[in-house]
Amino acid sequence: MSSIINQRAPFWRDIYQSFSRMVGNQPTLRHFFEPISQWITGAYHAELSKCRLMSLDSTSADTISLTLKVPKRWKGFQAGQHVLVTLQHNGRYVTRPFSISSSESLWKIHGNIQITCKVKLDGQLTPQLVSLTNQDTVFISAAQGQFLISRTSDDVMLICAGSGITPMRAYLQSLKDQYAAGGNSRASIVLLYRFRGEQNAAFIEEMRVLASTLPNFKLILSDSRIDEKMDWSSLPATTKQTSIYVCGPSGFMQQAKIALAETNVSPEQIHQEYFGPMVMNKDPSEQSADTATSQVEANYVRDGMAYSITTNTETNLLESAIDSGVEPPYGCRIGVCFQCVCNKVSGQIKDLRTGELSGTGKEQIQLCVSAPVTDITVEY
Amino acid sequence: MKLTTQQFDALAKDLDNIKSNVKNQLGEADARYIRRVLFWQRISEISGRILLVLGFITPWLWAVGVLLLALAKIIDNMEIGHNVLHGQYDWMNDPVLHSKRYEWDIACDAGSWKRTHNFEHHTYTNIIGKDRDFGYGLLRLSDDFRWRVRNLWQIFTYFMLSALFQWGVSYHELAGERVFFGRKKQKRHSQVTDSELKRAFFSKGGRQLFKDYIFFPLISGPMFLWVFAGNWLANLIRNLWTSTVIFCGHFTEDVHTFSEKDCENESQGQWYYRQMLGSSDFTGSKALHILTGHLSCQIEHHLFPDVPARHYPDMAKEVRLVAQKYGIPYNSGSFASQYWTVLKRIVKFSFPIKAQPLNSAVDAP
Repeated sequence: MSSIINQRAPFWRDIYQSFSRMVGNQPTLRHFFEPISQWITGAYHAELSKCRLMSLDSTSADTISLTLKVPKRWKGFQAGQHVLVTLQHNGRYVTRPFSISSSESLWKIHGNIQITCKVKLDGQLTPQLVSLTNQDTVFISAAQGQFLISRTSDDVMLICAGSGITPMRAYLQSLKDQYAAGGNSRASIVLLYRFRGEQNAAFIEEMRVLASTLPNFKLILSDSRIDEKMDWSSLPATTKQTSIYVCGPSGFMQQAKIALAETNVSPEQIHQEYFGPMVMNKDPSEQSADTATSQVEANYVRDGMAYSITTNTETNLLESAIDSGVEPPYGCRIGVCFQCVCNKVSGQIKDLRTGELSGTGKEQIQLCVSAPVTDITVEY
Repeated sequence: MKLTTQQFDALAKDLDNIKSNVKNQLGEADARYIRRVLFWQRISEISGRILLVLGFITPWLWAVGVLLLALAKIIDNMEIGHNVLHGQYDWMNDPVLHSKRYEWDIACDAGSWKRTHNFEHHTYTNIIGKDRDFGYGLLRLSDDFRWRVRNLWQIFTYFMLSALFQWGVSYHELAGERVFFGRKKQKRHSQVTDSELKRAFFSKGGRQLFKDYIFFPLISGPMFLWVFAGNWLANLIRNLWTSTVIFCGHFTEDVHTFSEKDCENESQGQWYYRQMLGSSDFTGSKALHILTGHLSCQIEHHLFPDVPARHYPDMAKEVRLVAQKYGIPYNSGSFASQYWTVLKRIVKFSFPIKAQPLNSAVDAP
């Protein structure tokens, strides 16, 4: 549940939760007082940190960077992690994950973080981000994700495409700050950055500057408008000690893994960050053709135990769960009774009633009227 | 009176239209509305509890405190709890207002309520043998039920049930599953075990009792008994109010009942038709609508259970026209007159005389 509760030791947390449930029928007193806090402060969310927008800059032709002042209570992050960004739009909380693109020292010294995102005009969240003005409220979750770029191993290879640059940039900036503060430099860092035209490549100038100031930093740029096919042989040789980090659209990550496997890199060396770059939203006409009969993997998680089921994009999640012996709570099976509402952790679904596609992040869905469009994980 | 298959389909289309018109315009205004209700609910609960203690200055403050606390509980149960648990505000994606997470200020566990009310009652509305909300297994409200001697004094049973309504609601599922008494029903599909039911019943009920009768009285020190009595009275007022509202929605004189056989392979249109005949509305001011959680528009609620309730009064005008178009009875009247027919119905079926079959399933689809 919320990060606020988890800060307490288990014993006191249990006492506090029982007390809140007894007095206010809410998991914490924050939830109980939320309507009043909202009235006083204008915007308040019991489970998220309230940030103020400090500035909104365009970092390339199609990406923007938001600088956010985070509250003191926020627990911090490590380069490579992401936050769930939540905005209120037309009465709804809309949430999407974004990697933090700024250095750790920006947060430590100024209490600010930056997120960088690609603007999709047909998306649900990014058009709202663009229309924000300074001092507006943006909610963020605690930092999360296991894409932690190693600080101990000798060699690091970073491979990214498009907005996959963001976690890499957070890492490189943190490293630069460390280096400027007199920290030891690394044996070798390689960054492969692939993009579609230089005007769309966020932070490209910054990377060039870093390449000339950071010792042992090798920058490989690849423009898909010039080199249509990625030339993987341009990657320098790796050793068994090299940790490799890959972030980008799913097609690119697949290619990278295949190319790396050919150079005898073992899978344990590869770390990847994938937050469904909404493939499905890109071209609705294309998508109906190639998702018609796709097989997907559905993971049902309860109390930490996962049940994995192979299903398809036409069957509702409730039916495939019940057929495979996973029994989430359910009732009417027609979307009326709301007993089968579950937490979707990741993946994208289609509402079978409207054909509407969901986001790829964490949200609540009705299993009985939802069919998976991508691989999906659901807590029930 | 019977509609043809085509008419049922046309009926479904008309009602679906009314629904999608409202659903398409949900947004900022609805979010603002429910948060404002939530805000005033919190304010009246907190000030009510404080005034109960301030009763040592003058008992009048205590009396106002009782009314405010009762008001807070009524709004929490009706306009917020009942409607949120129906998933009316799930689209907001707000953890405090989501059907999965909401828990209310009543003895009944929200999960149990969603099974018995959202699923059983709303899916099988007024189907005798399937919808145990019809008479709650206590009252004989149609000739579909065999008469028993205890029905003779069922008007008193009804008053008892009203006074203890929150416990009736909370025990409802355990009674149906025969958790403590009675023989288990064969072939009954149950998603929860008896021990889960018991645990939810005792833990939620216990929490509520502890809060109102131990915790708040204790922290009031010398005002222990005043606070204890104030909480008891507030709960009583809430119980009587919610029970009265709900009885006016389903047990007025002309509400129809249905048999399981009638409803096999029911189409969407037939389902809508049954919802319209199985419920009744009553008229009143905006404040009355809010205090009833808009269950004053029970017909609209049964047709569109997951549409935010503040839209029901407007939808009612359109639904009434649709009812006229297809010649479907539309049961509406003032609060007082509807309640009077509820009392008449309870008394009428206290006796073993078979009433004329005006309400029974003969004219159902």
